[in-house]
Amino acid sequence: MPLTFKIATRNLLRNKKRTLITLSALVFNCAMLIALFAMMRYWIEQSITNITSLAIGQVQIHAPEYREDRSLYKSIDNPEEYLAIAKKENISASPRSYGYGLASIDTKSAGAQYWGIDPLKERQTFRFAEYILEGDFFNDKIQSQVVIGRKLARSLNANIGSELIAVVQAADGSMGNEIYRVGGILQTISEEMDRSAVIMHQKDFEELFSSAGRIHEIALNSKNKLTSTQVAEEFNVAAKKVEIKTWEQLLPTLADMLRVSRSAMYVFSFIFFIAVGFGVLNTMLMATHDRIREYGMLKALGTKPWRIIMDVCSEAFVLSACAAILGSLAGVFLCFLLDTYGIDLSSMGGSMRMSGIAFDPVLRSDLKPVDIVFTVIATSACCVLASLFPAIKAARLSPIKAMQKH
Amino acid sequence: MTANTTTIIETRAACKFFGEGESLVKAVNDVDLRIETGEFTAIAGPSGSGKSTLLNIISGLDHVTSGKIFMNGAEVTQYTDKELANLRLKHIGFVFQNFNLLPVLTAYENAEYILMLRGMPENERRDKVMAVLDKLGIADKAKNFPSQLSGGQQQRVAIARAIAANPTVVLADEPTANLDSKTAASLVEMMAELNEKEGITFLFSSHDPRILDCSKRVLVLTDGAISDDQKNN
Ligand SMILES: Nc1ncnc2c1ncn2[C@@H]1O[C@H](COP(=O)(O)OP(=O)(O)O)[C@@H](O)[C@H]1O
Ligand SMILES: [Mg+2]
Repeated sequence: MPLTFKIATRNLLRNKKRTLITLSALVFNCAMLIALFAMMRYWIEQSITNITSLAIGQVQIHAPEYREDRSLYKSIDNPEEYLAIAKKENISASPRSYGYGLASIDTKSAGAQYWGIDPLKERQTFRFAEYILEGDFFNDKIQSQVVIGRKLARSLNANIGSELIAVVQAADGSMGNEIYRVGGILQTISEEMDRSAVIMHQKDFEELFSSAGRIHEIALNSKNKLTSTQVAEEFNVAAKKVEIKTWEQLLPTLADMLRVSRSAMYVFSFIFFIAVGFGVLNTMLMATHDRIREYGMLKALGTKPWRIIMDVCSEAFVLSACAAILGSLAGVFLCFLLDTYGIDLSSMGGSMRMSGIAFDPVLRSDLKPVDIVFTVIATSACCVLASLFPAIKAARLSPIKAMQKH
Repeated sequence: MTANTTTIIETRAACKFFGEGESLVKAVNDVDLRIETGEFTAIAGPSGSGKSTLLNIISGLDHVTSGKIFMNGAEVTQYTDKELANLRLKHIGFVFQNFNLLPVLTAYENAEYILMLRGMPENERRDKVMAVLDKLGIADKAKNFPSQLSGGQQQRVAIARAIAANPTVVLADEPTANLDSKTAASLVEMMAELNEKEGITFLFSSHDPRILDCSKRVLVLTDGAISDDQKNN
């Protein structure tokens, strides 16, 4: 072992209590950061998965200007063309029709957004069919049934089996008027769906709205094969005829927030490291102060200042290396605990909803090697940097003055 | 060989003053001095007479107020701090009164330290250090840390470190001051023997008369000036 590291290690062992306290702080910091990074990644990935695989999808196609007024008449021309592209590129696609009207059960009524969906395609493309609170999502055969949002169900006093009367203005100007059975109540997916979604079979929708096969939205999901931008690019040929938007464009606030979350984490860890740096600075200042006569003696012998700087910095480095090893192990263990048990934020009364999108309230971890590498490197760099000031101070001592200190 | 080539240390009108005005202390006052190869010279004088200060300006640990100091013919009073550090590393062996050894290094490692700084390969270092420790009778203490050694043994390790690197001169500032008289006497005997057998030049300070008796030459300092220069034997 090079003498510098021998000196560093033995110096650390001289004041075991001081070393242990600093080491614990460093280990704690490492472990917390690793766990936080992993938790943050899980949360971000989970959020994106929720968005792209629940109801919104990676990319949505609408008729131009549909999103501004959501008019029943602004439907996609020739939707088969896009479904064909999707099929060719192996991207799951779900065509949807939307219309607005009144929904009532007994004496209660509320405004509703009616969805006409193809249950089979919806199941193939998205997972929201699994997000059922009560009852069932329909299969292809069952008609005259609806699945409704949670809050809508509450305000209509709806139960499974309740009869829901839909009153809408149909495409031909007549009044559409039908009775459906409530077959299922959805879990929270988005605020909008919670409050107003009445989802029915495409065929029921066509009858209710006399919409003659009008499709207002095609939601696309490549299921992680492609990025949302890549999916959008596949449909570029049609960009003049329809509006193609990625989820990031549809939910810009949320996309921005998720994007800055990771950088925010780095900023946050930076603050952590400043605190750690001051801790190490303090320890190393005390340590070098205690040994001021030794540094004076070494300088008197002809030891170069850089070697004394090396000695002090090596001490901080050995300390941080131990902390990094122990801290990484502790961090991995924390992540394992998180994965096993999870933190259920809903039990803390937190509503897990942002920009109208619901999120999984159970936090787990998604640890990547980069989290450990970053934490280890940042801890070591921070320790060595913090020791630089005491190191330079020790290196600049006047030998006689230092040796006269008591 | 001319007489000059054997002069290791020369001071010309060397002065070192501390403070100013009323509180001016002339710690070293107009000292002219020559030390030749192979000398075993003691600087004597009561406490406060300037022994440490004189040794410090010779080794470049402190700067002179005026005058010149030469080592091996080079004017070291012109040297930068870096050059002075090199001079100390390459030409001067140090033995201090206390805090000689790094507590975290064993006797062996302490003795090895300067050789390591000088970049000597490890196997050469081992032979050299073990030979020196053996010569000083502390080879069996090689693995001990300073805290496990007596004061006399610690000073021997310091001497081992000082001579292991074959310095031009060993400067020792009251190396025996913290030792009991018997240990002190044996340490000085050992230094004298190294001087006699190995030709190592020693310049040390002391105010212990028994130790001064062993010296070949005694320079007496009074209030910073040399008041006597006696050659024994
Ligand atoms: N750094 C200093 N500042 C002021 N005065 C000093 C300093 N060092 C030494 N002196 C003074 O110089 C004189 C000589 O001191 P010193 O060389 O230590 O004597 P000695 O080693 O013979 O006891 C003393 O009067 C001492 O007080
Ligand atoms: Mg003195």
